[in-house]
Amino acid sequence: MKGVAGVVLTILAGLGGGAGLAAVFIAGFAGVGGVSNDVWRTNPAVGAPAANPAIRAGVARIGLLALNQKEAVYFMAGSDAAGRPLDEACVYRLTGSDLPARWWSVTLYAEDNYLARNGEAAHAISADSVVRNLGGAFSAVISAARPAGAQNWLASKNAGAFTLTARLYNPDEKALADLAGIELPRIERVSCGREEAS
Amino acid sequence: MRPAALLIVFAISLIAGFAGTVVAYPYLVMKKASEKILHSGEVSWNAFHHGPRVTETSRGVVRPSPDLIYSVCVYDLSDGPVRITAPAPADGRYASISFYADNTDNYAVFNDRDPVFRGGLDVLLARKAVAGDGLVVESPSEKGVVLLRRIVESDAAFPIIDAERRKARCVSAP
Repeated sequence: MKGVAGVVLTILAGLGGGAGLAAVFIAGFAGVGGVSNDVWRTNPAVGAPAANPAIRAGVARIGLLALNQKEAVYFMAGSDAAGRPLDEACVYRLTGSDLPARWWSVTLYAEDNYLARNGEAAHAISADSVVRNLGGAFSAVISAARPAGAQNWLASKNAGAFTLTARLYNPDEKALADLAGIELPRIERVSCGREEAS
Repeated sequence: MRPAALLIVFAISLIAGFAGTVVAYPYLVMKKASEKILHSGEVSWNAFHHGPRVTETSRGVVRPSPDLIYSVCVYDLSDGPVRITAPAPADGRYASISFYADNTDNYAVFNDRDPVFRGGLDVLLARKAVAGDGLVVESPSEKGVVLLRRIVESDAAFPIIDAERRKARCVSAP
């Protein structure tokens, strides 16, 4: 009887340990098999019928109900051009040109992966809303407080260690063929803490 | 039982626990998401639920886009096929209808530039295609989710786009 109990306990410990390992594996999927483009990262497995159960489990965690790449490519960034984590205490300049897609947007998400609760309604810039210069390029300020005179603003108030998501709907074929080579917006830190934005 | 034998039992259980969790996880995630949608309003299976505009208080799905609106139908084909219809967007902007199986696989998607969507989409969602049914999308699972996405470029455009997407239908078609 004692032997049977030992076997049952061993099986339960094994199953529990296996489930725990699987949870760690699934949580770590975002960084597996992705494509890097400067500080931006995308995972081509998101939105595609999964090649195997491991990929499917990872996608279920990070890209539930996402579209496949022909429809949309999602890039995510959590650090500035110098590799420092994005922080609501700092001011950033986001610069770039229209992304190679039928429609695009860049959205700021708070640490909890939802839009930051700050009452500013300045969570995203898009192909529709962004103000461009005569050459077609744009520059946006990312800051907690509304910047004076900025035409494009992403509000980082109450966002903590935030992240950005760039969405490219119906990306150009050339862009799809070279996800690592697309020109994505550059994220430069301007100032931090009490320093003034230049 | 000898320690070596117990070790083997442990290793086999560990692998089984790992594989079982990995395989089951997507089904659980989809089931939970479907239940959340079904409980989010007065909506049943095989009917579109037209979600409100995304705001900073939205907590349904992580990383929602404030520039898009979503309509979702949680389907069940156990009583037969379901017909999905949606008008083509009058504003000429991106719109898509995507189909997800109960294991989260995105097995089909049409956007407004696809010939079948250009004049308005009309598809029969079924487990198996039958000749004479028009455009049929075969679902690999009995249950799943259909998601309609529309871009809302401004507050002023929302009422028009909202009224248009509410013409989309997801209905049992036995």
